[in-house]
Amino acid sequence: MSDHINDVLDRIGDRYIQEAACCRSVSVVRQRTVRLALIAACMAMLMTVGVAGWKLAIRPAMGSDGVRRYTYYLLDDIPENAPAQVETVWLPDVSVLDKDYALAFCNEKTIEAGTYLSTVYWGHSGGQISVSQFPLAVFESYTGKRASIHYMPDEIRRTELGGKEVLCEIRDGIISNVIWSDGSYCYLVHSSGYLADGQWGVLLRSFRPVPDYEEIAAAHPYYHPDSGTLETVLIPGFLPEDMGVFSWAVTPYCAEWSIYDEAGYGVAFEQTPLDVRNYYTEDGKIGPYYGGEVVDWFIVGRTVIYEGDCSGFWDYFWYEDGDRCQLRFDKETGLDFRPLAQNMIESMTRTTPADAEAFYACMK
Amino acid sequence: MDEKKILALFYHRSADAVTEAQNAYGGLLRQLCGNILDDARDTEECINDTLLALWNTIPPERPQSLLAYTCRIGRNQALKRRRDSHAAKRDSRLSLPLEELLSVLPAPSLEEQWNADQLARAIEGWLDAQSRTDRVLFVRRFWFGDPIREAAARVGLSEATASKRLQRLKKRLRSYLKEEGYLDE
Repeated sequence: MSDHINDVLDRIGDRYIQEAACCRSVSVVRQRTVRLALIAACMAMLMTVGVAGWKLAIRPAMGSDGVRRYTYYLLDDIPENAPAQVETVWLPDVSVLDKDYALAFCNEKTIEAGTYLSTVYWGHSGGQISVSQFPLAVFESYTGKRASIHYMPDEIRRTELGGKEVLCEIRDGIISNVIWSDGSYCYLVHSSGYLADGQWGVLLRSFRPVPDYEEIAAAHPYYHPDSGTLETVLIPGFLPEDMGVFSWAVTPYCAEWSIYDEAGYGVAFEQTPLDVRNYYTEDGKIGPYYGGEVVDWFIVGRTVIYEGDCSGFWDYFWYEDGDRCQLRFDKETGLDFRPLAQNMIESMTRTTPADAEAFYACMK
Repeated sequence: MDEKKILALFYHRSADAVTEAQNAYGGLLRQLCGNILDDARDTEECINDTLLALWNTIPPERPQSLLAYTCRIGRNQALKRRRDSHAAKRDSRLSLPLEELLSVLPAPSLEEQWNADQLARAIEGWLDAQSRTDRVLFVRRFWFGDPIREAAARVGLSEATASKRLQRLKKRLRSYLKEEGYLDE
């Protein structure tokens, strides 16, 4: 039988194989405060990066305004007086988006402890790669594991938000990342597209506060002082058709979900609330919240399916037929996450009452 | 070197053709064959066999996509080698993704050859309707035999999310094949 399956699969067209073969890996970017501290410690390094036909040098410099900026050069274009390289690393999968922008991600999981590579955006201008002031691409060493991971967004758009330039990365028609740079700080924010009052916006989140935030913020010039705040902003210029309507967020500590309905079928948006020990809603603390893996929402027709997977602690499943409802509590702690679901329902009621009704029905 | 130039080298019977093909596709083949074979030496031999097969078949073959052509040869070489060396035992590495599809794809019939072609076209139609992320995830998992973790990394998903997506994809594919009459209700 497996021979038969192999036979079928072997007849799949070239284009699918090409597409999958050429798709570079991409990390699930996660900002970890510990690694931010590492970044700060490593920032004084000059690195030379070999990039599949490109050689890239990254040179940090502290400006007179106290802001650290990075300048990226094509290796061939490095000025003669550039500092000697202190380290050479190989990023096998990084490639160039186009002549204007390239984007690199690194999967931190594949890197030895003590190393870090975050996200790199660079633009190309006049033979010299100019820098976005995003604090990135800093690591102490590269130990030989596959470290560089790259993918090509469908598109990167440059737009302006609140008088500041942002780069929006579009994947599958959805804003998936926004880089915000105003010369004094930059940070990566999570975002998701949604429609509100006819405009497609993005939900932005900065780094959240952590116990040692002050220390990190002091060491890290790019650490935004408003870390932990959740902003909902609209970025003009994005008005996709048939995008639907849900956005929900819990502030100020960590959680956010968004749903957008696409052609009636729903699209999941995943968020990863990381390392949050206490989860709050507007109604107050509802219990320890263990940093988990995935939170997915789906709107399928009139029914909501919500899957939560928090390191195996809890799961919700609401199936389309409404009958196969399963709610699992944390057996070890006895925690009841229904208030969390209730909060979600109330939020949903504001925008999709029909789905919320079905959601309620499943819970009973 | 780009694909057209490598193909030109093959057509002109230049000895550099194999070297350039190895440069271009060696890494990809190593991953693909490595997913199927569990022995590094077997994998290297499989890559060499694949490169030799390229040399022996081009020309007369004139593949539209040298990349896909190379992958196909590599995959089949690896499967053959694996069948030969693992005939008596199961290997969870590739058998797992394939077993996952057992519940989705229809069983072979007497007209197996015809069905395989038809089924492949149907799957292509279904793939076309999926998002690029889902398409790549599916092909990486079931064609390239990537572990879920690696397939997930390809499309920027966590392993857990990719696993769930794959489950949903299989469910969708099964529904689609039912609608198209390939599977009984």
